[in-house]
Amino acid sequence: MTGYSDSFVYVVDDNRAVRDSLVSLLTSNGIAVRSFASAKDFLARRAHVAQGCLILDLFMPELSGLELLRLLRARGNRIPVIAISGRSDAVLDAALKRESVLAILSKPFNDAELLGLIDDALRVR
Amino acid sequence: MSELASGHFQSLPRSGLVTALIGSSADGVIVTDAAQAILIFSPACERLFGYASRDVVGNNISMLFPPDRLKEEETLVQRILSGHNIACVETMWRHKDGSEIPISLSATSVRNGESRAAGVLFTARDIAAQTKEARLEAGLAHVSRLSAMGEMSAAIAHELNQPLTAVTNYVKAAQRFLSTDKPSPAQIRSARDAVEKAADQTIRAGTIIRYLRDFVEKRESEKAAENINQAIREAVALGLVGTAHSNIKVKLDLEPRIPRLVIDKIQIQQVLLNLIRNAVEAMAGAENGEIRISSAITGDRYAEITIRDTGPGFLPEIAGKLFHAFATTKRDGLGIGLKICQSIIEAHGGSIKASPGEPGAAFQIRLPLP
Repeated sequence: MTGYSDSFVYVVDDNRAVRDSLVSLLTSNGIAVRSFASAKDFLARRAHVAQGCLILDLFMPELSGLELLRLLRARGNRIPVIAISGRSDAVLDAALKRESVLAILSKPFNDAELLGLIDDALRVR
Repeated sequence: MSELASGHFQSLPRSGLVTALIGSSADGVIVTDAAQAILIFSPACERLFGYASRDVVGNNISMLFPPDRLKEEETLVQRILSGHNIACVETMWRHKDGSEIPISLSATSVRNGESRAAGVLFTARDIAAQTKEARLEAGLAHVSRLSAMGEMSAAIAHELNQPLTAVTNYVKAAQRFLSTDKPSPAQIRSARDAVEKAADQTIRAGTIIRYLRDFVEKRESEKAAENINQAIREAVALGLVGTAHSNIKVKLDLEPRIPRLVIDKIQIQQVLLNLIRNAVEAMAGAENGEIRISSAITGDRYAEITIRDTGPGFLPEIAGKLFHAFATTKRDGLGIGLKICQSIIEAHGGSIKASPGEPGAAFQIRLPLP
């Protein structure tokens, strides 16, 4: 899985360990990563990015994953999104699908599944 | 009493003193003669039992006994007349309207130097408010017990999932790094073995948590269409138990047009209770504490509940951290309360947010409208 040098994977998760471990996992697989501790932080610095892939935690204080996603979509940003969540919620899942997320993974997730999804996201542009 | 007997109050008119003492007592005072006829019926008694003094004076005190316990109460009076005083016995006497009222009864025989008492002085304290408070407290404990297990499980499951995710990612990354760094075959084997075992353990733990989560989510069947304002009012009543004598005021500003929300009422009340109790605790000892609770409908179709207090509040920079497990500003707190609140609200498709008030703290809960 190489050859995406112009594409980043953006990780937005308020949990430091999850965020940092995702950076390790993706880096070990040759993927360029940028991480953000909050949805607000991402919005302030990368709201315009449309390339690459966004790994988005759903349960965050202040601005939630779904709220960030809605803001991005409202601005016409179609970046592929993989939602990650600590709990399953049918209502939330339905709302996410309306914002066309690539997948919703529940924590802890299978690394092969995540890497496969990223591969798809970075391939389709 | 010894002061009176020793003569320090001899200059005061005796009858005036008795009238003043009886009139000023917050407890009901009744004096009967040895034949149980009522001689004195204090103003507090008039309020407590509904009778005017002139209607009862001269009558037998048994008119205040419930018909079904006439015998027990008569026996009690006879015992007092024979010299057995009683203090703070809880019993039920009868109101003018026929209802029974809980009182704490004390009685002392009035002596005249003879062996047999000349009469009895009763004091009756109204304990209706106290018993109501005890009932509310029991309700509060019940609500807490009922939902604590489920909420704890949900919060713990969510919290354990985070490190589990991280461990899985780390070991998978380590495995990957090792495989591309050309270490010796034995090192690669050992490292792979170790990280694989670690990964297996995390996945195993994840499976257990998944079961736990499924178990907790079965409680969703308890969701029903509920009046949120009513849920707020009930939570306020419970949350203020034991604060009757403090200076805390509660102001409600509830939006009546909020439609019924599909919620687990007990869980939502658990959240409201938690926030109200936090506010009460934060303002303990303050001169003029105030809790303002409002409900509103937002433009994006949420019911928004705001709870503000005038306590010391918290620093703006920790607003986001308040919902992390084990974050607390309380000396004895575990910091799990707000985590559980967040867990419950999010399980309802809503969100909870803390912000510094001016002064105090403000918590805002958003629940989706149906």
